[in-house]
Amino acid sequence: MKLKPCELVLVLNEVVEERLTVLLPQFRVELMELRYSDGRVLRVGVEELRMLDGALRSLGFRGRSLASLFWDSLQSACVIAPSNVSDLLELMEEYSKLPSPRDPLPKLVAVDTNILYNSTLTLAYRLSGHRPPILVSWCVMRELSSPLRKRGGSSTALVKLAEARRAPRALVRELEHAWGLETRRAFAALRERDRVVSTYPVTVTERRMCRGDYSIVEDYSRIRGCRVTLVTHDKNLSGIASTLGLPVLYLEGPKRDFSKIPLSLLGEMLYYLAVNYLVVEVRGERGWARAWSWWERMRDDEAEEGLLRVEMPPRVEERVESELMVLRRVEEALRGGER
Amino acid sequence: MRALRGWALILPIGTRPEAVISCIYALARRVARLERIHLLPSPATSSYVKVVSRAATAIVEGVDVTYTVVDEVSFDGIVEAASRAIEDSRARGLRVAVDVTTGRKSMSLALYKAAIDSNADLILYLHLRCREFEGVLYPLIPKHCADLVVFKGELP
Repeated sequence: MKLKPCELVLVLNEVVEERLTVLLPQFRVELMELRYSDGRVLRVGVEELRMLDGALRSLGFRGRSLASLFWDSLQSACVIAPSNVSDLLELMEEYSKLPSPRDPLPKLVAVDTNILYNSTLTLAYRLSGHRPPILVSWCVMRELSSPLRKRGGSSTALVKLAEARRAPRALVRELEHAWGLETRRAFAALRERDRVVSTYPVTVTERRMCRGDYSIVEDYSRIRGCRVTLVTHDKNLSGIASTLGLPVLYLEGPKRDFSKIPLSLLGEMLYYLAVNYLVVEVRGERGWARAWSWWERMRDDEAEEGLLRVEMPPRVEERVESELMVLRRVEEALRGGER
Repeated sequence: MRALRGWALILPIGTRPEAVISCIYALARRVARLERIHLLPSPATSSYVKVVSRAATAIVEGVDVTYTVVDEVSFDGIVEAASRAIEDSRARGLRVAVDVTTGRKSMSLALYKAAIDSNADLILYLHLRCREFEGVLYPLIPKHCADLVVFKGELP
């Protein structure tokens, strides 16, 4: 069954009563346990991820660490925020104001690629509700689409680790064939781009030759007649921007402590965990479900929409399917409404 | 005396059709046969009747949906319209639930009075514990975040 992240609640409501456990079945790791009634986090399994990272390094793995992907998932799901997020919110508020005689220049918030990877603008809108004009460099668009061209599967070290952890054979096979992490993350960033476009007024700069991060800064620096401020999570890029005289807001890393997952972000969190680890499992008192961010013959538009393939026991699937059918008809009624 | 059959639900339409639909969802999950829904929109929300009716039919196949437009600040007018709707449903042999969740406060108060005066079987309120789910359809709300509170009567 294919579900959008917000529809995962249908599954959670079926399988969880009070305790929700989130696992990585391919590594047999319990990522976290939380209380479904209020999202309170009861246990986090980052330590075990760090141990697995040690094993991966000894297998010669050079990719992103499993522990960092956990924090990355939480940040992209807006569960944790950059430690100087208040600076971003101030900027969003100030740049939402229309030009006035005292401040006649139109203002634009220019974004780096990592802003889309981290869902930073979705976070900002969620926290402040301001919608300043957003400027996206053509080079950011190019950067987003480049991992889509090379879709190679998971690294052999990850596959070996899954085998060593005695993951079921079917899971290992999927791991071997799935799109690589960078491709899955790029599709998630494209989904964020679509959300940004539907939330903010967005302008994209003209097509041009792009060579690395420098081109992004150069692109924004050429804008005249506007006040442009670049927002980035990349310290190096922030340094380049400062050197070229482009105002920049560098967003620092998030504080890695949290005691609750807001229930409205559960679906997003599971989505980003599935993107980063390929598959994530939820377990409750009444059953389980696995959400995959990739499957054979997955279409690009499905990946960009953020669809997940969700496996669950037939009894649960039957109930979720009938609920989903009604829900889709209700949503259709709402879309075709008078207003 | 005719045997009591299914249920009728009477509820106002506020500015968010999703909230009205969620109330219908919540009761439909709890009772076996929801046969009639009587909507009470104001002139400002009467354009939602079609949407809510279509959604209600998707939730409960074959449900009979009807409506009466009421002036949202005419307390007596709302009481009268709601009382008529209650009596009408009862005359059809239905048990009556009145949901006071949606609409203006004046509508909720008037509906509550009508439900008490006409001895409705149930008076309901869909309590959203997590405010961030306002405007979200009932099945997409984590189950602990929405409670169907019974002010009067007993849910089957």
